[in-house]
Amino acid sequence: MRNCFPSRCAGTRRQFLWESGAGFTGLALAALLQKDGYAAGEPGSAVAPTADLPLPHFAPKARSCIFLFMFGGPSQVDLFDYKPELQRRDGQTVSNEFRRGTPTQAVLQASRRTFRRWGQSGLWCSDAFPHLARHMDKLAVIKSLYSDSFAHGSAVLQMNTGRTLQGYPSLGAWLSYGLGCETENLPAFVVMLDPRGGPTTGAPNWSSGFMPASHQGTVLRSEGAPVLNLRPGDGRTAAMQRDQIDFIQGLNRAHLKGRPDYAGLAARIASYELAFRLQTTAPEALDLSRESAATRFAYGLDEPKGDHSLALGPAPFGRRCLIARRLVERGVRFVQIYSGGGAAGGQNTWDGHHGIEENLAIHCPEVDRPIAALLDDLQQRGLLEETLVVWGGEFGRQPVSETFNTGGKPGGRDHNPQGFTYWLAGGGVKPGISYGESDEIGERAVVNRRHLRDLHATILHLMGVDHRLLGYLYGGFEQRLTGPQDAEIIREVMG
Amino acid sequence: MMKRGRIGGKCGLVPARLVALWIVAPVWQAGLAEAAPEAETHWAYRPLQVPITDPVPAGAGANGSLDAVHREALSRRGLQPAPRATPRHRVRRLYADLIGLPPDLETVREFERDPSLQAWEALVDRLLASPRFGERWGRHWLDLVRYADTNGYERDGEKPFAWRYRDYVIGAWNAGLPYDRFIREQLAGDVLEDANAESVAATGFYRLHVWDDEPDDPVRADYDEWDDVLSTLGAAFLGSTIGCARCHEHKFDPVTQEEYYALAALLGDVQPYGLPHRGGGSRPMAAVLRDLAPEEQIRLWEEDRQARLAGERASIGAAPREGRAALEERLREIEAEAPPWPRALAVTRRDGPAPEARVLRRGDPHVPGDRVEPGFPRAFGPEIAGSGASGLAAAASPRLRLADWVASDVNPLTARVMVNRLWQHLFGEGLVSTPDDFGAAGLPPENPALLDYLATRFIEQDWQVKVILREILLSNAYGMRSDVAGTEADRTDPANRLFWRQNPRRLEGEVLRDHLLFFGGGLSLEMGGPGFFPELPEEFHQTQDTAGKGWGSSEPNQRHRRAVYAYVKRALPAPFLDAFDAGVRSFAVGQRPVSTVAPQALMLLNDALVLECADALGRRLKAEAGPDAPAQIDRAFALVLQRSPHSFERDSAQNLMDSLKERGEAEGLPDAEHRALAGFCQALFNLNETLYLD
Repeated sequence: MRNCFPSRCAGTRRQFLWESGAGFTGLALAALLQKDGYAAGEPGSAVAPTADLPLPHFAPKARSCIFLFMFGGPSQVDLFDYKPELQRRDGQTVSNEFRRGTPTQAVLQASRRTFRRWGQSGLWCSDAFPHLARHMDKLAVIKSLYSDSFAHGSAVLQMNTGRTLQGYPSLGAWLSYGLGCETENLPAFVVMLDPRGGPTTGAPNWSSGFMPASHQGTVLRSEGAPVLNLRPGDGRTAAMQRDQIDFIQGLNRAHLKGRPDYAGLAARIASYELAFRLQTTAPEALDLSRESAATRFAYGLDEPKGDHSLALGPAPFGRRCLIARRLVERGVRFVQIYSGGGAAGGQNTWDGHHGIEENLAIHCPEVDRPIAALLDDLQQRGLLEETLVVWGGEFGRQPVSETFNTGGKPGGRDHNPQGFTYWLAGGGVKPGISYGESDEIGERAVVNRRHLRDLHATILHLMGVDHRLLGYLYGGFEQRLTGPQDAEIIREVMG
Repeated sequence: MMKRGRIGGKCGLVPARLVALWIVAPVWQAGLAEAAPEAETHWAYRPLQVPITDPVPAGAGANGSLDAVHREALSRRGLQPAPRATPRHRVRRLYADLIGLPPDLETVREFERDPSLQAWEALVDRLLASPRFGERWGRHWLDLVRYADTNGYERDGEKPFAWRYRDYVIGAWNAGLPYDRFIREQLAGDVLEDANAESVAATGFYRLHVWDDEPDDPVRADYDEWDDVLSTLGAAFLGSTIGCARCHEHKFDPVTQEEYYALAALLGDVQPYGLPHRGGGSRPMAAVLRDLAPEEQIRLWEEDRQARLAGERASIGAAPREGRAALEERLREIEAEAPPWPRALAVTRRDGPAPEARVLRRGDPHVPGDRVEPGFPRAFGPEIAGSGASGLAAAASPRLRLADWVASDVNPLTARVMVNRLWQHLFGEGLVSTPDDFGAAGLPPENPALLDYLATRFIEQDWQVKVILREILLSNAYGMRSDVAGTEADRTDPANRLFWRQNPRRLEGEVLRDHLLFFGGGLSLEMGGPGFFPELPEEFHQTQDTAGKGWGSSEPNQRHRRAVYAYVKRALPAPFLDAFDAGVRSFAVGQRPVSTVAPQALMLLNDALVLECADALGRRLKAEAGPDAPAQIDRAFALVLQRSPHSFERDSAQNLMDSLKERGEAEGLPDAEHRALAGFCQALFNLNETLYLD
């Protein structure tokens, strides 16, 4: 361990460079390692990056990642994890752990969806996702994940940061820190929220934790001003802002003359040029008016809202998916899109306590067409092989009918971190396979059980990062996304 | 220049206590024999070594000894201290460092006319006595204890009266509370023999952590909380990453897992923040508030209340049915009466006995291992018996032992860690550049003699922070220039680890915001009380699961108070401060990162508060300098930069205002002339010279 950082005397400059991207994002560790001709054992700093090898650690399969986060926890047994035994035993009473160490007697509830096998691969998908079902041959479906929390707060944090404790850097921040961005005109890590609201716990889910704020996720809005403070307020035009910047830069350059070695000043000068450019480049990336009518149709942008008062129809999620494609085309590293938002516990998220059928009827049509269109679109543009698409939530749901939160009314499903489903597609993913199994009623992962840190390790791996080597020295030891425990990549889902 | 001396004048390094604190020397000597062998090998666990210096050389600053120790290390590397910075730069630096606000032009001019040591001393003393000092330096401390007004997680509920702890910290810095007392009050302020309202409020220290009201495993969550407190205590007071030893032996430092649990056991009487709970949903908070009133007063009030309640109940029983409603209403009112004294978020004692102190395998409370005796890591030095009074009272709470050990003169870490923080906030970097990790994974000081000199002085001077700050501020070292690039020294020590020059540094987020409000004349200096809610963009509110949840609105005069009084909601990090590296406030932060990215430029170009401050400065310029642009420009430079503009700057400013006015008129904007003036003011806010101290 200790030989990772034998001496740190040159830390300051490296540390400085890494904190001062001047672009949208702080400079990545990868860029630093290149600039410094960094090799194993060379100086790092106690607060600066540590790594044994240049990044990426090996040829990445995927350049970008789009993470489709179904906030609230989608129901695996109603979507991908078909359980004939559950269907047969509908209505039987079983013992069920509905919170850690809290068993209860509950009634098995079969899925009301109809399942069938799809494509060459014959992967199962229910009729809740009629469009996505046609793409099953592209997916690697992992049915044996488990994680550590029954509660939204800590579970959403764990899915995003690897920890159930608040305060750690998120997956996107780790990728920004390790790999940076391929464009300085856009952030490395973009988050797009559901119009109904943010996820439980809010900003800590896209935080950079103990890393500099420059690696945190930028919340991009699909309508209105895309980024906070992007537009000159108070009636000022772009030309007026340009006047101001010219004045600032003129005085700053004169000021720099007496202080040529202080890189912070030069970086700030560069950041103003970029800030000005962003006022054009950022809206351009979000401008869907140049997309063809066919594309807009495919993503469901013209579809009406559903009948349910909470339903939005596919247009808002479709818009975010289409923007995600435009962002990865432009070099953004990590895009996270939330489906479902606002306080957990209601039908505004995938948290189907109060009726799983109603919940699926609201949320599945919102994401089904857009995700299918995204996979198609990425493939047609040759982007799918370099873009990793990840789908899932903070946990899955129970195979039993919930009565705990519903005052006894049956039909809902409670949280379930003991066994749930994720799927991957695109860059480096073995298409058309199913990996792992839950038990016969779909409650617990039993065959090829994988902790979600294995999923994180796999995502990093596909992006060219060895989870054991991407570390950040904080609080006395080298922190990693996957935490202090050993994580293993899921080789079986990699092509 | 300098000899390493010991008593009797022979050469060598002397444990500081033999020189300065000879009374306790036997204790230290007795302890040294018991100390673990590792303590001999790592510099930070050795007793303080005081350097003996030659008589103060002629021409040295007021603090010749400090400067001598500083120069000694430089000269060994063939370096000279950089020349003294200009009077203006020194005054600007001093104001930002001590009070976080800019000086006025008149103060700068006066010091330029008379840059004497006496004038400097007077300035230093004036600022150290300013109430703004505690607001500036309290902020540094609040970073270490991860101060926030909410718990985080799904509900992100409020920490009631957390602000009393914030006010306590600001008050303690302003009052010059000795640091050892500051430690004792935070760790054991409720059980000190001379406990008082202030010292009880100080124990809010134990309550500032993130807290999950719906943890997957409440038992484990209580241990996570325990660990969080211990880790923060270790980082803040001891510069130690002891939290690392929770699950296994520390990887870098000689702290065993057993020692971790021995130390943790000293916090055993702290009531966990949440009550035990099973099943789903939110668990209730434990009693974490304390009454800040004498026990006698509380008892009398409670007795009186109970008597009145009994009386009401009796009357209800006796009253006819139709008269009862009004009486029951009275009863409820009495039941709900808030006590007439202030309350604080503070430590409360655990109801039952503390869990048995055991090593937990892999840190898991469900897998208890061997029993441990409460105690201290041996590597950090011997335990000190402590004063008679608290030695006796230690039976009342093991935290008294802990407080005595941390605040001890012979704890090798406490004084070193604190003087390093003081130095860091006056130089941008610490003598130890990893201020929260003095262990083997941190960086050793390049000038250990200077660190030990300051630490020794600190203890000699009864842990008075202001005394040490004053010594540093009066030194030649503090007054050096920062802009001396391209010299030989730059090649010898490019990172300036020996401090042969000052470091240029950027104003912190809070300081920058306060500066902008100050320029426009709108900064409110109202101190203390509940935090104000900064105005946030509507779209930013949408990032919470429920827009506006837990957020209030404050009147403009409240919103214009200093940033240290802003409400800190963990789910809604205020965008301006967040962009300028104010941090996430989940962990102890002794040194903030300084990132430079484009969103910061967008913030200063387009944020509503920045525009508001620019508008206010524009109006102030018209009031103070009249309607003519040249006078307005001069006045603006005077207020923002405390100097006159160079001619090219004056021309650029005039051009900017002309162009903005012309474009504004072409756009048909009302008040184009004023907008042009405000646009120029805002551009001044964006200058590197405004944001960076030389």
